[in-house]
Amino acid sequence: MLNKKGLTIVEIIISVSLISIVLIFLFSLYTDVQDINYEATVNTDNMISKSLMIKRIEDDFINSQAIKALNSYTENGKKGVKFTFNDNTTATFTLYKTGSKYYMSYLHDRVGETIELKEIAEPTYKCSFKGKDNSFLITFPITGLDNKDYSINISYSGTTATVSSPC
Amino acid sequence: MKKKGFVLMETVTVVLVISVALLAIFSSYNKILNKLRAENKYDTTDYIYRTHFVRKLLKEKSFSNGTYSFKDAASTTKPTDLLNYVSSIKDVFNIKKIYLLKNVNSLTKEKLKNFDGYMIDYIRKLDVNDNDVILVVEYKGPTIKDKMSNDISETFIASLKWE
Repeated sequence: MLNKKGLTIVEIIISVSLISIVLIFLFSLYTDVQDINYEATVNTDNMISKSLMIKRIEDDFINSQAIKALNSYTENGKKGVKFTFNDNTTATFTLYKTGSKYYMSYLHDRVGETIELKEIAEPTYKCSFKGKDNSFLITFPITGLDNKDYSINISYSGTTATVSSPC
Repeated sequence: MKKKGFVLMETVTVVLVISVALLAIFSSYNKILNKLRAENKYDTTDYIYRTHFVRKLLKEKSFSNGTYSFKDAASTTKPTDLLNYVSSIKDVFNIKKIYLLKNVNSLTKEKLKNFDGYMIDYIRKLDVNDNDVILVVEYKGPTIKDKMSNDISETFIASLKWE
């Protein structure tokens, strides 16, 4: 009498194919989730860097004397803006590239903060300026590789003289 | 006769249950994504500092002898848009509207009618005491392209306590 235990080869082939299809689907879902997680991490890091830099600059403006002049600034491949205060101290905000990494830096009398930006498109290093009377808004456009906006917006309103565009 | 397999009703029931579960997961995932997008437009660092300068300018213009006080504007039934008082920085900072609000937690549907959708959404998220006077500023953000490549302008809102 024949033993009817076990599986036929066709059943095995069909089972293996179905399981493979499910596993391929799950694996692609896993890699998608990994990519989303990486993008979210980079986005969070860049948003924190942007916030830290704006806070550094604006706190310095609030705690310093009024700004009396704005000029464009270039030194050793670093491009940006130089702020001159009423007490004749100067501060610079610059964007630059070292190797394959991008940085932004704010220094007031050579003391300040330098922060790395991750996964960004090559910046134009050109700012845009809006100013009237004692107020101005300078924007340095920075875009992530996924088109997210990390632009640095430097705003100021105070007892400054009318300033001209440094961009 | 041995009955192997599933009947149609069992299959339909299983598919229905799994679909409902996946729909529920997808809708809560969508809610989380929308919340993340909204948070990027409320109280970002650069707009908070702009609001600081707006508050500073308004305080410089505020009268202290009781003739007119911006704090009074906060307690009227219809909120006053204070945009005209900051004409020097209105265009520089891309300001759309400025409100001074009090009793934010007890704003009725009637009073909320005076605000647009973004502002209502923002006010509902505020975590303040009833006695706090809050300066809320709505800004016009940079122009971006939507999925249909149309130009749309984002709205950013930031607030600070008047103090």
